[in-house]
Amino acid sequence: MAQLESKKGMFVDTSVCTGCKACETACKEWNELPMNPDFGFTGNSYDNTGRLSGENWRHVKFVEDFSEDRSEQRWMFLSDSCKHCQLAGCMEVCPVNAIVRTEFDTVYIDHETCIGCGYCITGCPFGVIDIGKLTGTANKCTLCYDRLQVGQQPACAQTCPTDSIQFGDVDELMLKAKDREKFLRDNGDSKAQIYGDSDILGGLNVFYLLQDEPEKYGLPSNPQLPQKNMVGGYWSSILSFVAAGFISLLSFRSRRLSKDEQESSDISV
Amino acid sequence: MPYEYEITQLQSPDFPWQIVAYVFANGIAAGAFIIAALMAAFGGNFVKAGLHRAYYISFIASPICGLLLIGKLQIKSRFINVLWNSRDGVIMFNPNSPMSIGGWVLSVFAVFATIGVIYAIGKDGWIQWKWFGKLVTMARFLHEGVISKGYLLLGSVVAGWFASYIGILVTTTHLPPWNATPLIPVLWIVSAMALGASTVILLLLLSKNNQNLDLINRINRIVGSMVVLNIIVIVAFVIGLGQWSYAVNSGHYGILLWGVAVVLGLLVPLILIMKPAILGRRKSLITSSVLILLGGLALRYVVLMGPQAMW
Ligand code: SF4
Ligand code: SF4
Ligand code: SF4
Repeated sequence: MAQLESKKGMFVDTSVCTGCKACETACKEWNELPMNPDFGFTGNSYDNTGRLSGENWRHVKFVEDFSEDRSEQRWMFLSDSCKHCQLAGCMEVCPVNAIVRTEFDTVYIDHETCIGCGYCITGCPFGVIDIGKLTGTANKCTLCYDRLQVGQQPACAQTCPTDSIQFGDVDELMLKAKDREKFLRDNGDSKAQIYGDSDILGGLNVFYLLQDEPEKYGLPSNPQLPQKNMVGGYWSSILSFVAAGFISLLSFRSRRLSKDEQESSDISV
Repeated sequence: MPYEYEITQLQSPDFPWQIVAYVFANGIAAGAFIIAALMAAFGGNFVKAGLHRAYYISFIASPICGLLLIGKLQIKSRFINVLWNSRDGVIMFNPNSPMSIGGWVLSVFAVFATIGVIYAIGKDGWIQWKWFGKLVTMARFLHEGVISKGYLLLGSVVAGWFASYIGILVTTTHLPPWNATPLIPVLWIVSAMALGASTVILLLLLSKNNQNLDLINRINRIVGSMVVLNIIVIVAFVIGLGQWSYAVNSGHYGILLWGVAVVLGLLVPLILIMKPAILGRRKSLITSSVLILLGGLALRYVVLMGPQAMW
């Protein structure tokens, strides 16, 4: 792990996002990501990117939200990417420590070390990582590590025309987000809520101000590290090994021979 | 909902077919080792001539496992990174990653399998070189000397870990059909015992040695117990999956699970074990052993590929 210099991240204010996808485009362009291999229409609103992948490190979600009787409707957008979690499941499970924390407290994949095993894909509770079709290694948003190193802000944040994506020090951004949340709530947006404060995986460096429950945006309300299930797996292994070993020994040592076993002279025929 | 979390947001790791072949080969290797080691150490005073041949199976299967594991990687040339972190110049070990631990368990198991095969070659008297004789003496001490019980138990534990770790690995993920129950490691261990024992039986049947008859019968009893246990664990696993059971129950996965793994791979062998007169004893042993291997392969395919096909 690099010496921590600062804690950088992004505050994504979904209430001002217009779904223009400039961030998606900027990300593709800056990172020279290839065109989507399965280009086509998803049939889901204006979202033809579909999901985050090895070729799409940023993805704008289009949520068409209707009231139960469909008399009211609204469009909600969320510009999604890696959250650069404090407790990062991807990093925890990587067998070769290819996923590292940078001096900016962001989560970065070292492509010289990654073996392309794909385990981190299932370690991330948000389905962010994918194996890149061209690189064969795991791919995701780097929080524009190369730009941060030369004092620039991430390409998506710089491009965003409504300042929905704001880059900066996480603690300062969080204060800003809390003010904004209060403002929205005071003005009748009662479901406005921050997603990614310290209650979510120890804090997400890229966090969101949502206008509704996280589930509406396809976000888990209580994401966990995958290790939550590991201990159960070890216990079941130990117990089943003891049980299977014990039963095998009992079966093997049993003195009682069945009639068939006694008449087993035809085995070697 | 277009963005339903568990259905559309999680990603499949797209583990390729090699993972199925790997878990199959590692089940045979580990199961054969456990049968040989546990029965040798704690199996009582029966004639066990031929039991050591199980080590040949473990030894041959180990490098196959290694190759399949490497074949599963996108960047195969970097497989050594699992054991050695060249970037930081340190041994690579991540206790939070069952895959990292698995790399080490495979390596340690390969050492046990190698010592086992040296012991087996020594017993069968195949190699008479002087330097090899020293290795045989060491292997014989470990397998028959004062510490043999401890050594063989330790080897069995490593083999059990080897058999189950891919189960722990898939349980330590976010894919609901893999983490809904802690039973996948149990499936692998119980099935590995049946696979290993069946392979040992097939190997022993190749020899015309009548001394093997009692041993084959005894190992066949282990197979019978493991088959019953396997059926129970499969049913418990599918029930435990709850709403995610369709991942293993639907389409060709359902046919493979219930038709091939359970009926053909467990129930038919169980009938043949209980009523060997149906085909004659030798044919029953061969048929049931082969079917158990086939069923074990189908089980692994369904449990590993079915959940991945959902995304
Ligand atoms: S969002 Fe996923 S990929 Fe990004 S740091 Fe968190 S766990 Fe890793
Ligand atoms: S794909 Fe690469 S980054 Fe992901 S777990 Fe494997 S080695 Fe680590
Ligand atoms: S921070 Fe950089 S890499 Fe990440 S989504 Fe924005 S443009 Fe892409």
